[in-house]
Amino acid sequence: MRETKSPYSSKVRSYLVSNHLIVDVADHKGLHLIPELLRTLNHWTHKLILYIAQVALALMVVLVILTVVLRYVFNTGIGWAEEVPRLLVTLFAFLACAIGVRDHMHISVNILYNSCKEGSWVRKALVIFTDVCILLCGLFLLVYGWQYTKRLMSLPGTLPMTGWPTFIQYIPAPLAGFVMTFDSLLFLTGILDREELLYSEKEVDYTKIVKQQHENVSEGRS
Amino acid sequence: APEAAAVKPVVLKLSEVHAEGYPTSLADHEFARLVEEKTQGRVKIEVYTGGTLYGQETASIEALQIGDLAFARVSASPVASYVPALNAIQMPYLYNNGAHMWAVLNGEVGQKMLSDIEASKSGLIGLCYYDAGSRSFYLTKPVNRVADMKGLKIRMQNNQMMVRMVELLGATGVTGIGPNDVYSAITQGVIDGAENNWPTYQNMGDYEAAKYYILDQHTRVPEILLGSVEALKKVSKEDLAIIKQVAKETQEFEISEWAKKEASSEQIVRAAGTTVISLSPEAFAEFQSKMAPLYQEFGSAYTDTINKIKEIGKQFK
Amino acid sequence: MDATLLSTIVLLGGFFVLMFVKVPVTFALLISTLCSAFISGTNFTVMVRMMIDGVNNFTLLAIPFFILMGEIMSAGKVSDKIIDLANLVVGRFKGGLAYVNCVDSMFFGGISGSAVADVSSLGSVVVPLMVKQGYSPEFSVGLTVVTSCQGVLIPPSHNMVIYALAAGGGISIARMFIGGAIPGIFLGLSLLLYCFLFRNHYRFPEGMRIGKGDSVRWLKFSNTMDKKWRYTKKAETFLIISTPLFTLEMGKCIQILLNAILPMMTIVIIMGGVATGVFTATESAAIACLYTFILTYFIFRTARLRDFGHILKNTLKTLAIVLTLIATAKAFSYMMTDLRIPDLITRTLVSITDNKYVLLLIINVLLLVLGCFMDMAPLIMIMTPILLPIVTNEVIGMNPIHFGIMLIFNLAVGLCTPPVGSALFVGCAVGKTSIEKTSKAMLGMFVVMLACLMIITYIPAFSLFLPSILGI
Ligand code: NA
Ligand code: NA
Repeated sequence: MRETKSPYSSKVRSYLVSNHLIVDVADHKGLHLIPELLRTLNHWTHKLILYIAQVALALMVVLVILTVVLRYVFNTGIGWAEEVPRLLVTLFAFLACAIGVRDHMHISVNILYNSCKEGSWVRKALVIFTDVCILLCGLFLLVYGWQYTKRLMSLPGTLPMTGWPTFIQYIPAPLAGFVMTFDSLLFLTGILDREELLYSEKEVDYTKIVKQQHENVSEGRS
Repeated sequence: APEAAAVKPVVLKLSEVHAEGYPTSLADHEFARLVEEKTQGRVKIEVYTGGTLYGQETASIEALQIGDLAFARVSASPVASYVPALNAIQMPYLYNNGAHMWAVLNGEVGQKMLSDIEASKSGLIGLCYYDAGSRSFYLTKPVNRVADMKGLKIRMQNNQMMVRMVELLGATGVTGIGPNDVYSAITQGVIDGAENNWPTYQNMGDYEAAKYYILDQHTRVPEILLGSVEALKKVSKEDLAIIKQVAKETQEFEISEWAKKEASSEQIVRAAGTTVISLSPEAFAEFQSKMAPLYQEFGSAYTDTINKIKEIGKQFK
Repeated sequence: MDATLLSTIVLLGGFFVLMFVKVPVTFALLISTLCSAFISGTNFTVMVRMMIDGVNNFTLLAIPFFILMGEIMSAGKVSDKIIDLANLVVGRFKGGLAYVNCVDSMFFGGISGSAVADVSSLGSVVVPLMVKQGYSPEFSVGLTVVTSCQGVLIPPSHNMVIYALAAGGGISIARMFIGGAIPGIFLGLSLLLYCFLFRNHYRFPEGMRIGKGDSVRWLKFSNTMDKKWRYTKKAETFLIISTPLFTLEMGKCIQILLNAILPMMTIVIIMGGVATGVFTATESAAIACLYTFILTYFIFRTARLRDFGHILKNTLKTLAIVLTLIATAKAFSYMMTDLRIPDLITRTLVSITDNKYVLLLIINVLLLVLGCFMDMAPLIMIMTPILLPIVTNEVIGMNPIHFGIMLIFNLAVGLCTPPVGSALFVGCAVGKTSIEKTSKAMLGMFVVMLACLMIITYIPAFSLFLPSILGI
């Protein structure tokens, strides 16, 4: 069956391809298809959590401003105006944690790393060790976060203002745990390229720049 | 017995959000001391005050449910999401005085609620009630009758029923101001006052900003010492019985510590030249009468309990 | 070995080792906590609870809002307007740009709570100008880095919110904010005085006097500009904006004033709201977001709608770091409480000496050393639960607000010092100077900072006077 391709659908297609959101079956045959599928799944996951995080942030601002307006203009308040933003910030924080893992945003102390030569085995080992640590953290959040959520599910109890069940506060933990586990597994297996970032431009490495300058200066002197 | 001492004691944790030295904290320590003594060292309780373990009472309740914590001293109000009947004892202008409340709590109504907590499958055990005094308004203007409340802006906790209460009195309830910022909000004229018990009124220094304490005693929400079903599986049946018994024994101790605390706060506040206004019986009745719509709205599910409480109140005029 | 001791060693030792081998601070905290919990037999689900507990907090919302506000401002290129105003105020004196550098951070401090943002946005304009006028590049970068620390002290500052959270909620953010104002401005004025006293030592060039002749001189200066000069583009924008200054047109002066005052109104919104209790810190931060959004998108129109995605991404990036740290640090400090480590440290410190002044000195040295190696937010989260009980007990009897200001000042110094100082790194990258040479040029400024730190540590009035007279 042949499709009639409109310019619109080809635009969508090229967007999906350029963002790695579609699997090109023709290009990846046999066993190569599995990593490609995983990569695409990873990109979709992150697209989704980025949108959720952005909507959560925007909603928080709007809700808080709305509370102030209601209080000073209409002399009323909404009872859940504290509870819902709190749930949103929890969701946001955990999603941000996962996003931070994907793009290596979390701060680390690089003294040892920078003192080793580029491409040396120590550097490689440090990177792998870090990924293993993140994998463990992800698994911890996934397994114990889910256990905790499930146990609370079986117990009664509601949030005082919204009346929502208490377990929903804990869902962000296994959610972030899942994404972190997924990401670090793909990094460790080399399916995802560490250099390819989703959310940000490559971080400017100031230490490197400064080091370079220093070298240039000393070369100039000699 | 020498064998008993050789057995490793069961160590249990108790979480308390109030600071060291607060009446409930003193009672927690007393509870821990008595349990260790009566179980002959088989059960040891570590008390963590000042919210160092769990910063919020709701958090400690969830920890009790899971069994990560053995005891927590919390206000009755968050427990109401597990045993809704507890809402009944928190209604405004319900009690005529403190003795009335204790007759209710230590009587059939209160003890039934305590046992309901354990029966609710929430994983919680209600051990005993502690006193938290009564909350009253403190304002920058004197109030003797309901009419004086008209147009006042009063900081309230984020609680629909309490906001409704001040609305029915003709005032406006302002939520969203943290307890640390009440003082400045009053001095800057953003609000005309707030409401709390004697110790908090004194402790936060709010009496320097709002010079009238209107002793309307609108609510008396007791504290509850909760246990965890899960965590207390670690102790024997006999020891659990001892724990339950000891908890009840610490109630009197806490009530007397609370009275001391309240008296010293009252003395400081009065010495600072604060005007304390006690409502006349007629005025109190007028405040009470304004609450009819609120009882309709929030209390209709517990009419029986409320009627029982009011019935008991006839002895405490 | 007994389990408590072993899990204490694992908790603290494990954390430092993991951090040293490049594991991100957040995860180093979490893994050492989990290992320690495993040894002491604490249930892992408690740690999930604690992590959620750490971020499930209404006050915490102020942090994303303040960061979002700062991002909107920098997308709106507010830094140029701030420098113009600083130039109008102190630019005319001998060594004018050095003073501008001190003053701009004072103004910018009211908008941003971040020293790094200050260095990268103000520094990238001021440093090239200073170099061109004849200041040494190292001195220019150093001064920019050191002055940027005012940003974390002068309100609003999300680090103060982090401190209030780490301290367990008994601290009014309004008091912290207002308490930081005098120490922040004091630091700025001290650096200004330092520049003034050493104006001949450093052979500062003449300033740009506002007068008819000066405008000509300024134009001449700009014409002779070296074409190879790296910063031409930014300097040109600066010249275009600031030329009116030198022609002394009253109208233009007022315009500069307005242009800078509108962004600086955020501090009025935030401080006015928080100090009077009209808004909570969280609410004022949300309103400041709305205000800056209207300012950059409708009044200045310096940011385009498609920049907004970028703003959100940048905000997300900073928050990914800060919020996650708050979550894991909470689990870490739970484990510390569980092992009674703060008690242990208190007892050890008090057993060394019971002299209040010596104890405070020890704490300062400890913080300064730690600050050289670690960033601000994690240190606030980790050190507050340990140190606050020590300083508030009867031996020292410090006010928690005063301690918070002292803590943040200490850690701000750490931002400017090698080996790990994010403000210093960004500054050196912006000014293309080496860390060693810049640090050497900063020695005098470090002395000024440490002197200020000592004054703020030992004279509580600096931090507590303003909160007390404003009655909050
Ligand atoms: Na500066
Ligand atoms: Na600031």
